[in-house]
Amino acid sequence: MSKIPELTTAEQQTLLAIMIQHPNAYGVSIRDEIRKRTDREYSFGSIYAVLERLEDKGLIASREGEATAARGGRKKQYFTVTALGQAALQASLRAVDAMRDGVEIEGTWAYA
Amino acid sequence: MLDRIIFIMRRVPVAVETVAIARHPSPRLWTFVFSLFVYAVVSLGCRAFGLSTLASISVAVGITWACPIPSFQKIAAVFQCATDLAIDGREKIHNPPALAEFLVGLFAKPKYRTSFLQCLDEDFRSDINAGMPLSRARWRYRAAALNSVGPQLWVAIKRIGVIGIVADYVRRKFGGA
Repeated sequence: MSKIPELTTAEQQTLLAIMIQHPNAYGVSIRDEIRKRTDREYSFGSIYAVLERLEDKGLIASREGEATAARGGRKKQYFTVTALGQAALQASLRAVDAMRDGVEIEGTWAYA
Repeated sequence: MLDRIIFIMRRVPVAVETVAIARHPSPRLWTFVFSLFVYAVVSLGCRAFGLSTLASISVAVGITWACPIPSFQKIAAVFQCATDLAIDGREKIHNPPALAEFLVGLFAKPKYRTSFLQCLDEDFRSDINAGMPLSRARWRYRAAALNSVGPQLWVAIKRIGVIGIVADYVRRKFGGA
């Protein structure tokens, strides 16, 4: 069995957005989903850099979609999370949960 | 070193072709501009690596000649196709800025280039459809393109090994021995 890779926050968010948007996860929908849920505005450059990294690690797979009507029919590229990607996401979120367990975050001191 | 140059040389025509196909311009103009660009880059690169003027010109002419220039027939065919489709005036006016598209096409990974440009285009069109003035939508496109080029450029720099090339040059120039 291949080793499960560790994930950054951006990678976690991207994987979750792909899973939420499945089977229609492409650049714009992934960006919008992350913005809607976290208020973070990622550029397409950042999104595609993360997607490239994830695909290189084998955590996501992509397929070409239908051509859009506008401007000579550029094709969308849809992404899906692979089994390894799901395992990596599970392990990563579990690690965060394990670290957070029992920690009380009051928050006020952080802005003092 | 040579494989790095070839790697860069092969990316440029694809980017040019992507934009050219989207915008259906004069194929002769694109080929000419592209050839000049390749010549200038190679020539300057050779000079930077200490080759003589004559050697630089020879290498630049050779690489420009050998470089896979965007296929004339392909662009001409797309041009013809676009004309046949009789795209109306509104469609032509609502094109995003060419330079911004070119920059994105240049630095995006070939595999994602089309979908990347499609995403930017979708944002641009939704701005227009929301009633935003065309000039503002175009400025927003430029900003989004520039914002997107940074991460892609960094990935490209790491992939091509530009840092290694610069380090090699500095070491050779100032390292002595």
